[in-house]
Amino acid sequence: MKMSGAEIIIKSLEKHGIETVAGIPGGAALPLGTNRAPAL
Amino acid sequence: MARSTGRPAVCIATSGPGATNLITAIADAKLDSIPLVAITCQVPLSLIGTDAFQEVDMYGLTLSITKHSILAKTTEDLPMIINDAFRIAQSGRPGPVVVDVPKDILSRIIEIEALPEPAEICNYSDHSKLPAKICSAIAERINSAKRPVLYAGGGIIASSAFDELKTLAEKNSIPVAVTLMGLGSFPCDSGLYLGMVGMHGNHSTNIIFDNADLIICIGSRFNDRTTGAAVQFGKKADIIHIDIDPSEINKIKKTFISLASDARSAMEKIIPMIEENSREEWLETCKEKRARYDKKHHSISAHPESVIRAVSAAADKDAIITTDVGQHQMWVARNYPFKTGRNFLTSGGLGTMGFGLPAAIGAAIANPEKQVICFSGDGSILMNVQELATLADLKLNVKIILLNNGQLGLVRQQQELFYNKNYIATTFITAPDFPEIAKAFNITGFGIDSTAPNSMTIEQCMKVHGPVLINVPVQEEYNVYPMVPPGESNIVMMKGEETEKSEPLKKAVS
Ligand SMILES: Cc1cc2nc3c(=O)[nH]c(=O)nc-3n(C[C@H](O)[C@H](O)[C@H](O)COP(=O)(O)OP(=O)(O)OC[C@H]3O[C@@H](n4cnc5c(N)ncnc54)[C@H](O)[C@@H]3O)c2cc1C
Ligand SMILES: Cc1ncc(C[n+]2csc(CCOP(=O)(O)OP(=O)(O)O)c2C)c(N)n1
Repeated sequence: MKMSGAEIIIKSLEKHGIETVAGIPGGAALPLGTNRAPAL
Repeated sequence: MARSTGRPAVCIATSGPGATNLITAIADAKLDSIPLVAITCQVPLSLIGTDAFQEVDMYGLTLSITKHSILAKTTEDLPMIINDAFRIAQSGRPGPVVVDVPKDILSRIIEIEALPEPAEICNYSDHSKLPAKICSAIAERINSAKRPVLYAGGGIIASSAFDELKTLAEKNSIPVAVTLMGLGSFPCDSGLYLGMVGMHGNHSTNIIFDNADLIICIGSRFNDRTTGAAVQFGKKADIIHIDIDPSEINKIKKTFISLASDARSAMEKIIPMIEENSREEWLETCKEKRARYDKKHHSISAHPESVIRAVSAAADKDAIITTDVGQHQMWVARNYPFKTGRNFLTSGGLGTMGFGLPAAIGAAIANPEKQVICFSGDGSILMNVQELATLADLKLNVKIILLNNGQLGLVRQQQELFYNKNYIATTFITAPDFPEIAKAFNITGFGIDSTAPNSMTIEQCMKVHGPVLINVPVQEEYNVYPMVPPGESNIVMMKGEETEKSEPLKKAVS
């Protein structure tokens, strides 16, 4: 399957049982949003 | 979240200021051994090292405040890196791990077969592998002790060794004292419970440690707030130290016997070799010390100690308590009846003001069925007051009890006692109206006024559904007592007006 780095992180967190994260959004973190971002 | 469940929690921040805003929280997790995975985003790989927009070197910045820091360099590495981060955060002594991920690594799409299953955690729980000789030497020393005390710390909670600690203490009738981080590891209603040891511990407990011939430290690290002047701490005692982290052993106090082990496994192995003993004489001595040295509870109902006891009476029995840092934290530690582990969440090692409200939010998310009570001070709450917005958004069952003395009280207390009452930067000249602040965030805010005839009681305010802030005025002169002056031996405790030295042990216990 094809996955972005951001998707890998989120799916991996789910595999570790994580349902909630606390966070501070911003430019560099934008790809972590659910929609696949275009490559830079 | 992690403190209330024992499982790792995750926070994510954008690069630069987002990431540096996590630094205090990461350091907090490090000093309290809390499993945390902090994911920070980074400028694209090609821009690292160029002072790019919002670039800070999080890998370098966090090396000394994490168990491990990782900079991801390829997208292909990410599955393994996340797995490693969780494994390291939870294995052995828990702690924070930072994963710094450049933006292009986040965005790049790769072909991947499947994500790996979570890696196995190494928690050293197999006691059959513990050295038999050392375990039996520990048991023998405990059996032969005349005046033993158990000194239980945060490691009991990390290890969930509550039953084992109780069994060990009861089988051999050993009184148990706890550190701030160990509160809740032993039930406070047990006859063997001595309460907290150290700077703001019970006077009697510090005296009992001074009289002990054996101190059995399990899952604690002889922090200076616990030991006072470390050379004087337990000077008549042999020390047994059980800790999962070998680097803690002999770091502060030289031990008689030590064992690098998980607390629960060590006790499981040792308990069968422990003899039953009723230790009437030693327990009687401890009881006498308690009656003699510990002050009775305050009778003034507006005193924070009384307020905290009123809150505990009105609270759910399994409520989770968080605190900020300051006098209110010590009053809670000394007065709230903690019976089980992971119900008291406080910033012990770093002493981070601003901890209480976000910790309460995390605890409420992780434990939706439980009531969460956050005791805060007027200084501390302002350090993360924006989190009232999160609390309002999530409508969590968090009751904030604001012990409002118009002061940065704990610092004011030190200025009063040790710096000639030279009060600098500790008084709020313009006192904010906290119930109004709460209301501005759409949170119910109450002000308790014990002088007004129709003022609501704390019990009534706590019954209100959803998030509530209750402002409780506290007289600014109230200090936390007893107290060991910084750097002094624990037996030199200030009780209030007078500094009293303990008398030598009158009757030697055989
Ligand atoms: C204002 C203020 C006042 C304070 N006053 C006091 C005071 O009067 N008395 C006091 O005691 N503290 C006080 N503290 C807290 C103090 O700063 C330390 O945080 C605290 O003493 C540390 O407690 P600890 O060593 O038990 O636990 P931690 O710091 O939580 O250390 C845990 C230990 O257990 C070990 N461990 C972890 N997991 C396991 C496991 N599975 N098995 C075995 N071992 C394990 C770790 O390696 C570590 O050595 C105060 C803090 C503040 C902010
Ligand atoms: C982030 C941070 N800054 C400074 C300190 C030093 N400090 C310790 S206690 C304290 C005062 C706390 O005041 P408040 O929250 O009002 O609680 P009180 O002591 O009055 O109960 C300060 C400034 C700290 N622990 N954390």
